[in-house]
Amino acid sequence: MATVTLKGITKSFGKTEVIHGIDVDIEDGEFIVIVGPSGCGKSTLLRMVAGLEGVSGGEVQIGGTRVNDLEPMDRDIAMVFQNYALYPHMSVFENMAYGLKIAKTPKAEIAQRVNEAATLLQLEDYLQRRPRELSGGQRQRVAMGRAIVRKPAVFLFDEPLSNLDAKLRVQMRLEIKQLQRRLGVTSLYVTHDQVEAMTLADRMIVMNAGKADQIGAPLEVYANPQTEFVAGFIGSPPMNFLPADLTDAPQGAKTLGIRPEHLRLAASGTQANVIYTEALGAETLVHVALTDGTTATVRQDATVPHPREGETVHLEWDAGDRIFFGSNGARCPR
Amino acid sequence: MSGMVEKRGAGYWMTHLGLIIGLLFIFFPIWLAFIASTVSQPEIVKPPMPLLPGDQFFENYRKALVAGVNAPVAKMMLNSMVMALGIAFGKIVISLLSAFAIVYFKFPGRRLFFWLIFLTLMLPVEVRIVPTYEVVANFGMLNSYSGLIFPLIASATATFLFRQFFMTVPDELAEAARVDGARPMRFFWDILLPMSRTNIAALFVILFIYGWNQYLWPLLITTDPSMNTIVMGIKQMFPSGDDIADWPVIMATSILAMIPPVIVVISMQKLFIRGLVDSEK
Repeated sequence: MATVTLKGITKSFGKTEVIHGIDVDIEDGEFIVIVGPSGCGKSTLLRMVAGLEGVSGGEVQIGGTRVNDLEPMDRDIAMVFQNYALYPHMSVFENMAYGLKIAKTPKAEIAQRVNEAATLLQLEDYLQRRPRELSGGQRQRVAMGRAIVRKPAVFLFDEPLSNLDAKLRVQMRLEIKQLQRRLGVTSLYVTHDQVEAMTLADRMIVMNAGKADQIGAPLEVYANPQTEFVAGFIGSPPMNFLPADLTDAPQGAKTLGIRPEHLRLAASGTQANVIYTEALGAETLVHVALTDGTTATVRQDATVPHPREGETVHLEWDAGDRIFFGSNGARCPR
Repeated sequence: MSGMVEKRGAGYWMTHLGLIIGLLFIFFPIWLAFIASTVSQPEIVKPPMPLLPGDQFFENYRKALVAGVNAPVAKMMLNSMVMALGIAFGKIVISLLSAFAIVYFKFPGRRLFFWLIFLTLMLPVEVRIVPTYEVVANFGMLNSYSGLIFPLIASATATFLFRQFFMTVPDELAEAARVDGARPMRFFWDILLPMSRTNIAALFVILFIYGWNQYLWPLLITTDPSMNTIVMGIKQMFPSGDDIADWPVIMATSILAMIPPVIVVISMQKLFIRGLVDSEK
């Protein structure tokens, strides 16, 4: 168990800088999710913490020690890979034991630790099987078991759930969260799925084109996005951006952002045309187009009657729910 | 409906008939060689040639194995065995290591070295045989096992094959091993090598037969009959001038020369086919 500190981390491939200076202090036992669209550098950042990628500038500290020049094995970390990276010719037991075997751990202790992890992950019955004889969810568990048995200071997850089907993903998400709570190991988790980020994170780092746009608790990030990018990325359906009346907006404001749940269909207000509606059971999403062509989404309770396609409606919202962004995408102060 | 089944039945039998005829066609010369190795010299020369085994089987094979024509066949088979095994193992070890270096390490000139190795694919042994002979002669390796083995041990084909296989191994596997604390050679031994098992078996079969069937190279560098390999030895048994060919012994030698490759193919057949068909990932 340890703290992780990133100080002004940069990464360049040749002359192209892909990560432009990231600073974050991660507390002992904290679950940090790094989230962003593909190509934003989130995996690269994780791999730099792991030691699989060199650090071009800045400093990575684990437990207060600078680890920039240490090999992955000397950093006291364990990593779960997207495609699990299980050794195909080894049994589940051997897969989990491999790291310990290399570290020359006594045989009895290896067996004990692997069995412990297997019990925790409900893998006892599969220890003698090969990875190819396991289902996706079981392989995922073996990959986590391999990380657990080493009792590392930090867990690193690189999109561990993206190869699973939707139902299993939700289930494994819960398991990962419970496991991390139980073991209390500092964790860094990379994902492109904002729902995973919202549900798992103690704090999340929203990355955009090699920069950390915002670092904060999920609900804080949701309620107070610091940039237009974060506002559009976190939340599903995403925030609406309207070129609305800016008369009482702060200086420099260019776009008005408003969450779908804060929009209402009303008798008067901004005029719009219904494009289509999605009834999801508990709620209904009404997609509309404003007169200037801008599209917006209204999220309303399923009990509220929803308009038909092509109907003309009016949108209304509370002034307090508005969020303004400037022309550079940054949030305007209220 | 029944007509269709009948038709399929006929096709089934026709296919088998075709295959059986083809098989007999190919097998007939080998059968003749076997017959010739079991009869006496006068019986072969006198037409018509016999089609059923004679009573000289033990006599002929004993004569071939112990005495031979120029050198005992047992000795020649040993030479061939050493050469074929040496080439097969040597090639596999060297090409595994060079493919490992080329795929997993970044060093200056990596591409250049790969293409240099690849280029040698385009030069068959025969093209470079004169300079190779010169080098081997200068090292004093004529009439020796090392002379038979070393010049044939570098293999672009096998290197290329292992390179292609290693490139299909996901990078994450190497990274996972690194996180687990495996140094490069440990990764090679514990992970890459067991994963290449079927490929190695397939290559072993091919390379063993390649080594066993070498003809020109042993012919050039072994002047001492006791260093002859069996495949070239057969040719050496043919009479020159007015000598009489001892056909039963020559045929016995031919049959003996076929046995080890057949054993290798049959015993490794399962692994061999798996190696060619899938790569077990």
